[in-house]
Amino acid sequence: MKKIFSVILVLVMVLSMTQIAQAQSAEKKTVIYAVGEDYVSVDEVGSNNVTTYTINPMIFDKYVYSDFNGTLYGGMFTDWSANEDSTQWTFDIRKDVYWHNGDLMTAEDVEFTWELWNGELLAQNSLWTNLTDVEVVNDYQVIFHFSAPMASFVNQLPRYGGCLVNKSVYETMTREEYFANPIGCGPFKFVSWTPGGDVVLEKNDNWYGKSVFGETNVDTFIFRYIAEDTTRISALETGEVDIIRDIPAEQLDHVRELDGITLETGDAWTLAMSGFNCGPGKIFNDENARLAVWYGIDRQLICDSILGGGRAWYWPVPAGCDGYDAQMAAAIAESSQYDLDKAKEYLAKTNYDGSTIKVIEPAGAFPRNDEVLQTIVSMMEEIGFKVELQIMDRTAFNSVRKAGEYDMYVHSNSTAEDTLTWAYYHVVGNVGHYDYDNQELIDLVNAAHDADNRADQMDYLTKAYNIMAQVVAPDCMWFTLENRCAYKSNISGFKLNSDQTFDFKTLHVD
Amino acid sequence: MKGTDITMRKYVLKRLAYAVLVMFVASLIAFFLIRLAPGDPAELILGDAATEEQLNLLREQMGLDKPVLVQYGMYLKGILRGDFGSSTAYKQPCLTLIKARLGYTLQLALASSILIIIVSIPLGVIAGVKKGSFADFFSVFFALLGQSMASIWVGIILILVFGVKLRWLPTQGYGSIKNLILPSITLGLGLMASTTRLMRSGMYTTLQEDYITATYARGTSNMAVYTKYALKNALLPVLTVFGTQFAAMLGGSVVTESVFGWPGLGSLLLKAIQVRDYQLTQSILLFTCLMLVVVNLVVDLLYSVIDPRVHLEG
Repeated sequence: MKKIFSVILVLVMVLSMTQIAQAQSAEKKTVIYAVGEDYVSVDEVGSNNVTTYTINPMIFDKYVYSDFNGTLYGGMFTDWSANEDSTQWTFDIRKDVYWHNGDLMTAEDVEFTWELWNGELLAQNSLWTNLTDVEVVNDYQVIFHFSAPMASFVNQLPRYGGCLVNKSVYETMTREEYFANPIGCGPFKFVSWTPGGDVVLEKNDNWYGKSVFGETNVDTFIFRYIAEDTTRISALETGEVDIIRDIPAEQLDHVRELDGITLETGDAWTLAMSGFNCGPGKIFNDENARLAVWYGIDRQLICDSILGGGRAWYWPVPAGCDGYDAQMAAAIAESSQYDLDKAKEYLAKTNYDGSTIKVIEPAGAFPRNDEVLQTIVSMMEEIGFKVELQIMDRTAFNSVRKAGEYDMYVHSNSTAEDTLTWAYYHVVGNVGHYDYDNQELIDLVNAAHDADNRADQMDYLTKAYNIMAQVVAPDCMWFTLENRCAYKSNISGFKLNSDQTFDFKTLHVD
Repeated sequence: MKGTDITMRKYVLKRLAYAVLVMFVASLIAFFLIRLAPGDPAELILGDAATEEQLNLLREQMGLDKPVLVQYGMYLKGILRGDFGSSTAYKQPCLTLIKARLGYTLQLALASSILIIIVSIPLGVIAGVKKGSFADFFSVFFALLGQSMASIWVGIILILVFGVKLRWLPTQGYGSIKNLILPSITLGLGLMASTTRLMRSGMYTTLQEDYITATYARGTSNMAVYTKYALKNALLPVLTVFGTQFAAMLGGSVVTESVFGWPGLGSLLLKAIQVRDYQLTQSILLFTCLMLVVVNLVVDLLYSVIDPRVHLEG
């Protein structure tokens, strides 16, 4: 009898433990985020991809965060200061940052990471060509030394230079091996990645940020690549995924009407823009021809009728980015409204002989690319230009542009807070092969680049942008693109940033 | 050893020798074709802001500064050692990337093939046997419809009907049988249609042959005639088309993969071409070619199994 009772007792215990385990497993919260842009590489500093900039901070965390309204706040770095000429930046490191393997993160890891990146040819390296040394003061303080002033260094950190690596682990393996199973300090741990499919992350219970920013209640986060818009939206509708980005204009109304789904929109720091080949003998060497295009394109019409959102834009950089001045931007916008007659008048002042203007564009630069381009071309033809449009793949576009075999190009520019790099390489570096010769503008951008303090730097940059908008060269802005995401209404605690990345560190599911 | 065994062995050896030649030519085409496309991989990796000095250094690291023939020699040498190089975009060995996606591509290709076998062949046989019947009209209609519909449209309609409206099947994803159903129908529909048509006409033509009449005269039952005598002959052209299409499916399908978020080889190849990832593009093309060669060899060997009158010339 005693034996039977014991067996029953054991069975009851096993059953109840199974029930508890099942209940716990059922309580595990999973969020699936789907997007139309693939996660290409964990090795962040070697790639330029918005998806990577969203996923990687979840694994690796950030040194410094931005609220995308001009305020920076500490991530793994708590405090920072620059010396008088901004050639030295001192950072204090938080003392409770732990790697996913339990190691304490120290200044040695920071030094090791930056010297590693600095010795290699990577997409972001052009930002830090002046970096000479990273000095470890103690376990919790580092000094970055530059050979020339780097007034905007800390402002680059929210977006760039992430992917901090664990020195002791990295040294035992190859780079490929490290990034195949990366260890970070962020709110989520890397679990697996199926290239072209899912990136699976799980909550890091040992994250320092829980007491600083708040805690996520999501146990598993899955990033899913779904290229097709309709599929992505259908998956949200059927509840298979929880958050989606990139919603095309034609599906906006449908998404808006879905039960239990919230649609969020806002201005993205992505501008549709044009660049002009201003070389000798080229039609856009003449400011009047550029002004004709400036006034003759009905930007808002394109936003409203084709893109279903976005705003006409005239200032060279988006609102909130370095070099943006609300007052000056408003004045430029007011005086630059669409005016076809004015556009024709400006064209009449040129010696344009009716020859064909070659407009090039990389395919897929922005949503509904072809329709937007056809509209811009037809508006240019209405002004009086004869236009030949060539939409080509991105690499072919780069080659044609580099060879200067174009009159005008149309593209999109996605920026981070720091816009100086963009201005410097466009105006001084002539990266778009503009051949635009304006010494005042070049001097201002150079002055901004070499400025030893942030206030002067912003002042020079704003003045430079004002000139660019006045003379419509070398670039000309058309409109801001709209940031769009949709998610199940029981999800909160995340933010769609202006640079199209997401901040998921305190993601919450009810 | 039997004479047929010797012939078979000779035949296989000869085909393998041809395969080596085909692979060599394919490696040449893959290597030079991607280089003919405009665009500089170094620029794509380092971005607009890179200096000419940095670009030259990277080109040197990637071996792109060497004469093209030297680059080809290095590439060939690598392949012979089993080293297909590393992807510049994904920063992983090409073989690792191909292996990671191959499983999903194989799943999709096999699932589509099973659909073809269980739907198209029976439907084509019935239509061929019962010419003018409802089954025949249906098979013609199905073949016409299947071949005229673009797979992107088919995929989206299937998602909207079976995923969104009826909620029977997932709209996207991978990893379970349920996830496989809609993509495999989308991928296989065109081939299902052409196989049905081919099977129907093959069956009908074979049934008109003299030897079939003679078989009937010997008192053989209808079922035996269809399955034992007519089907084997009617299957030969179907096998040829099926073999080629199956090998093509192993190369991945950009459309189906994009619509259903399926991580196969097709989308990997597209990405590799877009970013001028030379090593990865070459590796995938070469791998696809290898699949084609192997499947063709298997199909040729199957000919002699299905129809012993087909002689393999060694």
